[in-house]
Amino acid sequence: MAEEESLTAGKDLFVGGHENNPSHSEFNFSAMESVAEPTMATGIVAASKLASETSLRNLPTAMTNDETLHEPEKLPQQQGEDASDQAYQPTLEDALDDEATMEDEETNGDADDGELDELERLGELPLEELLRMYGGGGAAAVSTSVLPLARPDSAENVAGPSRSQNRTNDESAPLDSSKISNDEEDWTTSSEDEDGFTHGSASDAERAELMKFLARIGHDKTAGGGEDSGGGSSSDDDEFIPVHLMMLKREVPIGPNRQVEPPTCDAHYEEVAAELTDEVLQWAPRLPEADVIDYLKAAYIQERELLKKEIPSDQLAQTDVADDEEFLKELLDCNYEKEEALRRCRRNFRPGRYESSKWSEKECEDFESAIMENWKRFNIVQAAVPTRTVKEVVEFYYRWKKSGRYEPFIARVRVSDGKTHHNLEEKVKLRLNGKKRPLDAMDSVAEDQLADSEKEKVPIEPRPKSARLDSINSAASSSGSSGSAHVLDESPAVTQQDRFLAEAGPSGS
Amino acid sequence: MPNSKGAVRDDSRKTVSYFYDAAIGNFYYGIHHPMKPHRIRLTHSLILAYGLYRQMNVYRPRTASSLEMTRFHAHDYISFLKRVQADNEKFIGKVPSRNFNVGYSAEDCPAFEGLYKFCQLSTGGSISGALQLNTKMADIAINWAGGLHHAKKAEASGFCYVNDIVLAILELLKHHQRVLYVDIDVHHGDGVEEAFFTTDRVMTVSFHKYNGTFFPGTGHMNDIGVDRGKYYSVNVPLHDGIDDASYALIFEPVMEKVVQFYDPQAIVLQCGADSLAGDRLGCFNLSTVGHGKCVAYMKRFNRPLLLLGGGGYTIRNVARCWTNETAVALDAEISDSLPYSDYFEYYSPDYELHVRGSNQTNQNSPEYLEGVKHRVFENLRHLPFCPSVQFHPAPDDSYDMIDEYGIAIDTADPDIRIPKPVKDRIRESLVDILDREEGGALSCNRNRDVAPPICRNGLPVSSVRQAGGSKNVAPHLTLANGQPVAASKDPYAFD
Repeated sequence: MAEEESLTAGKDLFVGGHENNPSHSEFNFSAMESVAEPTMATGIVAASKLASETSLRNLPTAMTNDETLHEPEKLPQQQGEDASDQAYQPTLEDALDDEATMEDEETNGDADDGELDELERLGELPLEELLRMYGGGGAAAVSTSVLPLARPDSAENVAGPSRSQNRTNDESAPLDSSKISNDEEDWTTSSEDEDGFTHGSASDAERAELMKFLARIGHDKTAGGGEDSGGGSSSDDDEFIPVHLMMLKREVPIGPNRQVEPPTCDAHYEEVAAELTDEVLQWAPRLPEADVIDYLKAAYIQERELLKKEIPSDQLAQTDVADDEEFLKELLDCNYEKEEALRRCRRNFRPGRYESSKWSEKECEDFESAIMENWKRFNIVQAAVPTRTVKEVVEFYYRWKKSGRYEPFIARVRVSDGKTHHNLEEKVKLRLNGKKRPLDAMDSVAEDQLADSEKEKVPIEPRPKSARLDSINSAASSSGSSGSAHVLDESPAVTQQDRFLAEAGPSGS
Repeated sequence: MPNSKGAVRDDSRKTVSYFYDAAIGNFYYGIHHPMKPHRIRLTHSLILAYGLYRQMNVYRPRTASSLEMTRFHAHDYISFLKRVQADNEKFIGKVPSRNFNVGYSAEDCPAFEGLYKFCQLSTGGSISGALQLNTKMADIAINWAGGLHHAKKAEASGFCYVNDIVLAILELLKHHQRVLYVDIDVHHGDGVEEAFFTTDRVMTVSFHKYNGTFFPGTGHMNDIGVDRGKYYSVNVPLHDGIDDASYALIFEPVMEKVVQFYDPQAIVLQCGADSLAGDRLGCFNLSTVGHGKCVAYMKRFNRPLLLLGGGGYTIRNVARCWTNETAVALDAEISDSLPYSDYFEYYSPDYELHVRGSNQTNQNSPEYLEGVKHRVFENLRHLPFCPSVQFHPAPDDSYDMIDEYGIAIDTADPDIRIPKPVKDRIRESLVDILDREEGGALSCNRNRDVAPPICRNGLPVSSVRQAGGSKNVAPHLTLANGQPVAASKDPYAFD
């Protein structure tokens, strides 16, 4: 539709800047594109029509939006009436009325061309012209420049008085560019509204345009805009805040949907104490630390015995042990009586308490094939391993990534795809979601995978088995002794061997 | 007894409460998303391995209810978070104006599975911590799952959905008149600053990278607050590559002055670990030692302290950083060689605790830092610790803010009524200084005809600042802890 073309043409002038924004995306690109709401875009339409004479006389006398929307046929009739109808004089505010002017757009064929030409003209204007147009008259300028006219129609600037407080003294120095900043900042704050729709895109695009403009005139940090500044204090400012950054400055929005009222400071302890029932105490240090260490040692030794595992003598001699949440909880529950707690630990003993239940070989294989297809889409991967919840799958993923099964998996991926691991990721990424990621670090492909695989290329000596007495060692060694090879039981020999074999099939582990 | 450094002597070890829920590590933001809750589990496993766990009160935190969350957030936003699931993303995409920046179209804040539960756990820990501080069950409370400082009242932002910090501070404000919020994340703490931008009961101080475009784009040095909150927001913009020495050069003096001038009754410290060297999204060059020094420095002030997590996207370094800071809170010595733990492989090849700085160029020149510090001090002087008679400029002062007229008024004899034409002229500045209504930071009623109380010996004037507040206080001179004012060094001296 002609009107949509003009809409998008208008948008390009102002929204095009957002590609330059390298930081986190803080606003909805697609919101801008998909919703027909943006008053800025339609405002452009309206404003440019003012430039062309024909549009004025076609402003409908009936200004109710519904009528014009539902009965466009009326408009040709009104064209004839306007000449004689003196009761209503279309005003500037009416020109900004969205729906009415859109309907006008539709019926007036040449209005489109006029607008496109207008926008093109603005685009070709020399920079000084633009500067003069925007700078001259500042916020009050309404007549010829498109930009101030296209301000959203919400008249209330909630942040108005407070923004002026935020200005420092040195901004009294009259700068053309500071007038632009006035414009732009008015824009920013007045576009904040209550319903959560971020109009920030308008000002961000604005900002990007200004950045480009400044880049073109060779403005940079060191230049600092010193030649324009008036008082000494503003040049002080420029050392740290160059002029173009002043223009880019985002104001903090003020309003009932932003701030919160602090409560009165009159609470009483009794009330609060009653509230503290939902936190579950897991441990509180009441015993001397030496006693706690003794208890933990005893608990580990006991567990080893129950797992029928020998304890090396050097571990027994250790002075410090790792903490164990379950042991300590038992001790707490027994009111710090060690003997009773040890008894309970013995009673509650379960062999696999640190691997939340070992993943069977079949589960591992299903997981790996699902990962190969879907990469990290864990809901799909979980569907392939129906015996596990998504949370367990995620936890398993983090362990698996560092385990001995990972390398062989990568090798297999290379073989099957004929490409490197990273290309698989790219492929999956593109297939899933073609959008460009706004985050900086994401532009480097699969950074953590890269780091991980590079790390694994370094010949790591066998993971130093700590001499500490702790539950992990007991669990790991117990699994080793049982002979079944599961994920967390990697033998260094296997991993080193696999690393250099590109053609390795699934490893024997 | 305060010494000249402004900090009370280091007390013996503090009671530390630690909040952790084992489920937190299983939440997953999405493919390629840099925020990984798994890092909290990594931190926890290191804390266990080092034997730090047994030195703290460990709690499984409450899951915050929507009632608690709506103390700050909008009702429709919270009910939206409850409803949204990963599988109804498409539904969200169709109504972008009502998606609060969550969901398919917003890549920063995806609608991942269990989102609401994740927010409940993260927020619950912070609120629980605040409650414990209020009831004095703990001197320091730690919640590494919290610190999500970008969330706004009705909008998600920067991987944050529910602003647990604001909610914790609101809880603290029930028992404390003044709360200080310090943010050492590399990103500006915009959600918290915005929430308290108009009030003087919370002072927000943020050290962050600022260049106009770096997320979130706010945090300009000139943002100092508005209305009653004017001068109660401090922003310290920094450039890339700041290292430990430079950071300490600006952090310590600024925080000392802030605490001295504002005299908070509780401190909340967001320890975002993306200001470390080698972070995926950050661009600073701090080591874990330098980062931990900030925690140690805030601990020295001996106020109730809430330590929260925050950013941090190189997760092995995040775990190291927060483990180190847990040890700092406990005054525990831990070795640089990592003990064996779950996920031990993450720390290869060095298996060491501390993260070192890199050879990144420090773009913050000493002159720049000096200038920023200078500007911050200028703004701090507007706080209602009046410029005293004994004011003398410190050596490197070069500003010209001295309002001689104002000083003459301030130092006039309080028993002599100021003539009306003069009074009219100064009314505007008095509005800044005086705190008329109940519940404000000073919480006293002043007779408007009398000049504000003068601090003759340079010490800050505090009206009675007990928990529970007071009305109709005569403006006598006492310190915040009730001790009588004693002659002391000039508050403007730089030491």
